[in-house]
Amino acid sequence: MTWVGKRMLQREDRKLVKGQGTYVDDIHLPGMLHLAILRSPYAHAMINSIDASAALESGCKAVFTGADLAAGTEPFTLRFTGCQRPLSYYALATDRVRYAGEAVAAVVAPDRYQAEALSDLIFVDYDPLEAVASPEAALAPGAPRLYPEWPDNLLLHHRVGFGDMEGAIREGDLVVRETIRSQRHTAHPMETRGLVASYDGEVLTIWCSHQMPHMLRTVIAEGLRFPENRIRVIAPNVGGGFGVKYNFYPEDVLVPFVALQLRRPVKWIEDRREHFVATAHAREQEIAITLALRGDGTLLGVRTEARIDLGAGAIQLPGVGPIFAGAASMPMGYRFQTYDYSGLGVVTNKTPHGAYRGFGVTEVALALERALDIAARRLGLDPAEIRRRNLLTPEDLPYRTVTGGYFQSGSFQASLEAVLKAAGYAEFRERQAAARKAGRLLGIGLAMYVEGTGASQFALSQFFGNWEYCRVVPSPDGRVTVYSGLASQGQSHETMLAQLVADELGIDPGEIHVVLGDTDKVAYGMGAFASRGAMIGGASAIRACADLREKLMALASHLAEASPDDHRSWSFAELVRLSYLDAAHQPGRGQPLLQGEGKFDMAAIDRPADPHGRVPRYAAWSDGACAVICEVDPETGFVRLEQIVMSHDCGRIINPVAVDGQLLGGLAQAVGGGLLEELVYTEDGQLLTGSFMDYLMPTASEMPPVKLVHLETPAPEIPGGFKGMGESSTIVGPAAIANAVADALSPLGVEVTALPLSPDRVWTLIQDGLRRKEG
Amino acid sequence: MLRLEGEYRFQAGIERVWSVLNDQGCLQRATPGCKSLIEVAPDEYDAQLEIGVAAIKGKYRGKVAIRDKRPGQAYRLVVTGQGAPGFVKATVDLQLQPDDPGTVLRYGGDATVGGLVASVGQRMIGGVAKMMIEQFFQAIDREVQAENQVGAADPVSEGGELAHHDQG
Repeated sequence: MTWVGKRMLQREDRKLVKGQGTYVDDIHLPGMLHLAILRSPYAHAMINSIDASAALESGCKAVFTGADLAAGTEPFTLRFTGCQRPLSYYALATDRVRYAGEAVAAVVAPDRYQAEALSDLIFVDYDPLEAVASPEAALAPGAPRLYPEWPDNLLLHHRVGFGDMEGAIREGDLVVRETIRSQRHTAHPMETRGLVASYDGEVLTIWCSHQMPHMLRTVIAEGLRFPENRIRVIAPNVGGGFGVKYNFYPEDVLVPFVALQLRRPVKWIEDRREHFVATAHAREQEIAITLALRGDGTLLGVRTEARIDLGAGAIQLPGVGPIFAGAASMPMGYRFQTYDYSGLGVVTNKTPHGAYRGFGVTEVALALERALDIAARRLGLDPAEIRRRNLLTPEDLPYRTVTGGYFQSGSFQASLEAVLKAAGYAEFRERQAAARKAGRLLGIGLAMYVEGTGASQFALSQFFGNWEYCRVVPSPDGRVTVYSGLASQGQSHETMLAQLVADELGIDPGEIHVVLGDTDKVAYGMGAFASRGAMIGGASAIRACADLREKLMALASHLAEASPDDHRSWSFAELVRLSYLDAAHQPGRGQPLLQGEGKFDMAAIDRPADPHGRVPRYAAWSDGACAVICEVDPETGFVRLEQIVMSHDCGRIINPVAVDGQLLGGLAQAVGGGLLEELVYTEDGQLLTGSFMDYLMPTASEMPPVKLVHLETPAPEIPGGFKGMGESSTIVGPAAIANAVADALSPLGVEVTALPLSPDRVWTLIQDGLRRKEG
Repeated sequence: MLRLEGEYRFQAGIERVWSVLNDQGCLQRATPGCKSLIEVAPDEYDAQLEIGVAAIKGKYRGKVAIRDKRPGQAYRLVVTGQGAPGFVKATVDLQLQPDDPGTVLRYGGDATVGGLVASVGQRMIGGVAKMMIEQFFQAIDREVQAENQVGAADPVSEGGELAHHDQG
């Protein structure tokens, strides 16, 4: 029986869908106090003074301000060598607030209701400063600076360049220049962030809704100057992460700090209003893209000039990472070797920038795929054909991209053809032509992607690990417990690891128990990011099983030698039982307890830099294609999605149910990013879309039918052959939606250059087109 | 930025309207949710307001200042407030003109808001501002009429009329 590749229902789901999961807010401890956070209403202001006397007189247990944190904690420090400016901050603002929503004071009371009521009694005397709420405003000469010690508002300028871009522009028959804008939006997990911290005089225990419990333990230990071996971090069931719980937030240090100060358990649960301003934002980029092409559509070179709005400074850890990831991934699966990337990371008086599923690649995919469609139209080529002419072929593999990405396998051309076939591309074009005659605006959009998974040589960070750890421990009854450094927020890691280990040990998945997300149970691990769970976590489990198998073989040969006459075979369960409890033969005598350990890191596959200093950066790349069919209402600008088709290649698939779930969930977020979601700010840095009344999330009724096509070319260097895929559909989806709407509007001669494609924006485009036609 | 603009007609002479608009007690009573208004300098007040509409209720602490006074004609009202729901800053110019037999008051100005008032309340803020301005002038009108009764110089009127140019 082989379990890998089998469609298995996710073992986690039964508990979760029945409401029997345990989330941070389900943790109740005796004597627990509740914390509420007073946040700045100003986007930019100096704090003159904070008067908490009224709150303290009215029964408040304690009030903490930036001064307490400055005295008792280490600041958060952005540890990316790629940043030109130093950036550090305390969990509560000290003298200056840099965005509306920044935490200013923490109020502790017997319950949350009281804590919030008491926070109303705190008076903060602010001296408002002029705010900058866009990169344009922040980079203008004489603009107010967020960090007075910097010469400007530029956190970093990232450059990557190979080949002669100017030459490509001269040589090209067509040069396409377009500015493509991705709007600010972010993930809204059903469970918001939250922490409970409790100190018993020896161990500081923290329950958190986080993707990286072990690294969070290190962050808390450093922040509080507290011995790390006496901190236990537990991420119980986590109700969605999507990257925003990969960031380390001020509250992650604040809540344990308060628990230590008060010697009482403390709970803070982020409410949805807080989530809108206190959880990292993402995606706000304006990309001026230049394509140089031959007349036949061959790409000669790509130039990207990006301006990334980082808000009030990228959030530790990964806040600027999306810039590097986008720059490295831009070549996608296309065969060009001339590339010039320049990205300005600009600070503004808005919520800080951080990780969100797609991690900077969504933005560059949108720019490149949009520009390719514009190029195709100008060259009179079909959008499918221009991609066909530039995509890698099987003969190109293994292929080193212009930024050093190393593709050893992948489907590229096959992905495109699979999507065209599944979407009925040729038939659609006929239907579209007929519909246009009837005045209807139908469109189909194509987009391709690659997803670099399992971040590898991210030498740009000094606070990062690219490995994963796993331990498999059999119990005397022959069952096995898997302890993994992964952490799950709904990706079905437990099912996936059980399937893998079942195959490796020849036992039934039902015999396997998986333990994740508890630093006291797993020595260390990296958790969930960069779509690495199945690949890096899976590979570490395979290694742990190999280690265990080796020990079992030794045990079996010991038994065979001890009683040669009784030579026979032993089942896994028999061997395990004998190793623990057979005093007569003592087969495990002199040996460590029977268990297998495995660590997988990129040492085996990391390549040295090429002569230009380029390194692969990712363990393996998945790739694929997406087609979206839509209809635009010419009267209202409303976009109705008719169908989404996606093909993808993530190497060997462990559980198709889990892979389908990842792709479908990501497509829902792509529909949000493509059509609905936007964090709109005023020029003075006030968020206008701070509730679900104004910030629209996709629901089941916005989701069109989806067809998925799985292609499998194993990753040759990853044990198991897996490639990550958790972000694929969020990378490609918005670009395909944008191209679909652009295709629908193409008879009007207008181009889609900004998301989301909300009815007002599409309606304006239609009116522009109609005016242009009349004029 | 919220544009505030409109006019209100009082059935009383300019001097009475002017005196009410400069009377600390009248202003306090007329301002919706005003819990206290303490004069800290000539034409400068510390104010405490409790304003609540749906998601944006709460206490505000702030300042009210009357500037650029031209007696019997005009002044500029500068109101700043800060509280749990966020902050409000409004600058409004009020002008009085005779409108025989009464007085017409025209006002125009801008308000900026921040914090929750902006992020959650922006959809309602135009309507809330309009409602509060209405309440304020109706209350001022009552004060004007009360003074009329005390002074007995004019017969008791039916009260004024409000016209808005809502451009929020």
